[in-house]
Amino acid sequence: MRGARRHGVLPGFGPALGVTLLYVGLLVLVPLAALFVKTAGLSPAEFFRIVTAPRALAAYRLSFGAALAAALLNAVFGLLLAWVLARYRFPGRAFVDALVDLPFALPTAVAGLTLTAVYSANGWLGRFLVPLGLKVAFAPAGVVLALTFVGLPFVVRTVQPVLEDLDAELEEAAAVLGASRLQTFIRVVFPNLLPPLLTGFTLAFARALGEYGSIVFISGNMPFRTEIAPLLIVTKLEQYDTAGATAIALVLLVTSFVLVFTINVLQRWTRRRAGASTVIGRGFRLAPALADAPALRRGLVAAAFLFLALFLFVPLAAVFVQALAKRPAAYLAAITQPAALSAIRLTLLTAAIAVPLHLVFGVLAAWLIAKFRFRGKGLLVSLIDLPFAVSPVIAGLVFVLLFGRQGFLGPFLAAHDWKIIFAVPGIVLATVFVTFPFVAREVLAVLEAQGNEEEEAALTLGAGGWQTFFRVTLPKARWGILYGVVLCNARAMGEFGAVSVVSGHIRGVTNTLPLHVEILYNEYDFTGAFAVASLLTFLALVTLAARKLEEARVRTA
Amino acid sequence: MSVVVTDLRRRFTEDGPPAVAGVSFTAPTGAITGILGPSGAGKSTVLRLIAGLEEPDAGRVLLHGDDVTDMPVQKRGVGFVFQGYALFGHLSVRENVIFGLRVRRVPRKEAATRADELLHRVQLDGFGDRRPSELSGGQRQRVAFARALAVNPRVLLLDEPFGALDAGVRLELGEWLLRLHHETGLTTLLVTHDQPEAFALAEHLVVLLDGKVAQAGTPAELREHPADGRLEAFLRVVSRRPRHLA
Ligand SMILES: Nc1ncnc2c1ncn2[C@@H]1O[C@H](COP(=O)(O)OP(=O)(O)OP(=O)(O)O)[C@@H](O)[C@H]1O
Ligand SMILES: [Mg+2]
Repeated sequence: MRGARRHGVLPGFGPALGVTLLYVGLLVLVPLAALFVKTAGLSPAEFFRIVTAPRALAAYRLSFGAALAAALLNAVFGLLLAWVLARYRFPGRAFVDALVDLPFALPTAVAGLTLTAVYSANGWLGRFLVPLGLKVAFAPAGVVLALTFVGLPFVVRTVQPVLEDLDAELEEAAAVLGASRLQTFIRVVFPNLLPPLLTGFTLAFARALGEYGSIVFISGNMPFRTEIAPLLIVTKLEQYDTAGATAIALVLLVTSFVLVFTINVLQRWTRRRAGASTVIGRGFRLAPALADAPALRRGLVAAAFLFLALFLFVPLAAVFVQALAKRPAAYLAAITQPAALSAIRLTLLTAAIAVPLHLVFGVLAAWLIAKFRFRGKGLLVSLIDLPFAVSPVIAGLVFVLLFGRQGFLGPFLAAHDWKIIFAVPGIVLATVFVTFPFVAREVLAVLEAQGNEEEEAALTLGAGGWQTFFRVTLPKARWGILYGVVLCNARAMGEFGAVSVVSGHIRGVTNTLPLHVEILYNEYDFTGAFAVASLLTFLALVTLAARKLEEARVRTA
Repeated sequence: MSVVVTDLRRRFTEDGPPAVAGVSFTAPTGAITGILGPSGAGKSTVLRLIAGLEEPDAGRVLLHGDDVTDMPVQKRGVGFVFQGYALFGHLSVRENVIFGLRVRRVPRKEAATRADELLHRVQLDGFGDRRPSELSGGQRQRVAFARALAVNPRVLLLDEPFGALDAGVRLELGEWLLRLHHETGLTTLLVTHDQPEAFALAEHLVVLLDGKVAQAGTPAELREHPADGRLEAFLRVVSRRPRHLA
């Protein structure tokens, strides 16, 4: 009892910590450790030769360069979008606000498919760009485009809340002291936005660096020209060069570690700075005398819409238009053929295992982190975040290293005739890995925002630890839990890279919906590919609707 | 004459009553004028209209005889102290104080010297390199005063400057404000809903009720001859307070 006291007044610290460590250890640490162990089998000279081969260097150059370009684009336009959404009221604002999250929820294979269709030589936008000499699809520009798409929400979603919470009195104080609007922005507003801007930038960069699904479609995958590092890993794996794949993967993984660590430091900085502005009282309400000039406002809103149109609206519309371009009968046929039905079944099964698992353990982990003080908490949070920054390809690779025929447990599994890789268990494991952070992250954010007072009140009223958890904490966090679950589900159903590596693409057996999209696309069955993609897009839109619902509930609570 | 407002009007909602419904008064040069009234009476709105943070629907604002009604807030040269301090958290105390000088392109050296004088005046010598978050509430409030004084304002507008502080510190800062006012002689408008504080600090009082001036005059006049019953009820609370506060 006394030991637990040190960590906080709520009971249940010991069991919660034990279970969470087991969960993180088995599902994140052990698989990633396999990568290090495997690389240790290489001599330093061999390792160095592999990771500095010309083809590898070209792949890093494209991966890092394109991810950096995409993250910079997102920093500029993310700041613009955050400003426009936080400060202005205009027709379509709620719609834009909801759609910004689409890249979180839309399977990357669908994003790749539709961006390729829109920007290829005869696509809606490509037909205007290509004659101007702007080749996007099947060129490095396409890689930047797709990476910008997948990273689009990060800067907006880190900057916007800080901007909304920034007190109007700060800007008023600057104005009274004689600062112009521009001076106020540069000297007062921007310094407050810098920490979340850098956080969002790093998140977008980390996400872009590992991205695989959308790039497979749009880049054309030409070695030395449009081959990104995750793709090189897959290529080596397909050529049975496991050691080569592992070495390249290690380079990316170490980068991910560094990025996750940086993100956590930046997030702490954001919180400190947000706490430092010494304003008490009313929320955002800028004096009308200080509002932006109408011309500036209209210009910024127009720029935001233009950016979103190019990167979001047009590709989204293209999915449905292409899917329904032929007769409805063709659409129905495409989604009811046996291979499609089996893909739907496998996708649902995978989500049905991954989501409840994360629901239970993610909520527990969030509770542990929000309610107790203990050493190594920052490290635990980083470990939970890690699968988010690790390339999905690496997520698949680590399970191949553990359970594949040449893997650590390969002989044991073969002896018992158990199959994990190129079978359903491998797909489930890879999906569990990549969807690891979502429930825990969402619930943690809600719990941290709410504080401990209500739990403490329950304790003084005689409630026990579990009673407090079930009667107070869980109901308080229910909308956060709902969104975490819905997002986790969207990711589970939409995962491409990790599943692709472990699946073996056995039609009717180990194909999920996103993999099925790729197969149809490679067979030039575009109507079929878009029909299946439209199912996944619908799922993404439902996910966004759930977020809106959560926000509405939180506001009225 | 110093701060003169004539028939100021401002409404925030189409239906509902206006926040400020025709307010006129004169705040004499070099004096502290207290603006008093219950919550929602329109005190802050009047002060923000004078500063230029709100635009009036009608009425004029004159500072030392200049009509500043159509002048943007940046040009009015007023010092404003916000109830919530509104210190810039990413800047040090010194950088906060010289903010108004830096945006006027005063060289950093010169501005820093001025900052140290001001910090001395508000009794915060040696605090220049701290962050606002490392100061107590009372210290933060004095930094806010120093920042407002740095630009040599024509008038000082204080919106519940001690509102967020506890009683002991309020009393102390009240006395400090009187001394500061003695030294600077700045025309000052002090908004407060704390009647003893208003009666103790102000030489002249304006009482607002429902967006209108209910009565204006010296503390003695208001105490002896409250204009009507409602005002008497509002002010009666004061006379029941212990003598030493008033
Ligand atoms: N920006 C605004 N939008 C809408 N209503 C406002 C706004 N500012 C003030 N009001 C309303 O105008 C009225 C007067 O507000 P004001 O802040 O001037 O009162 P106050 O006398 O300063 O009150 P308090 O002592 O509580 O600070 C209130 O009813 C308030 O709700
Ligand atoms: Mg007020």
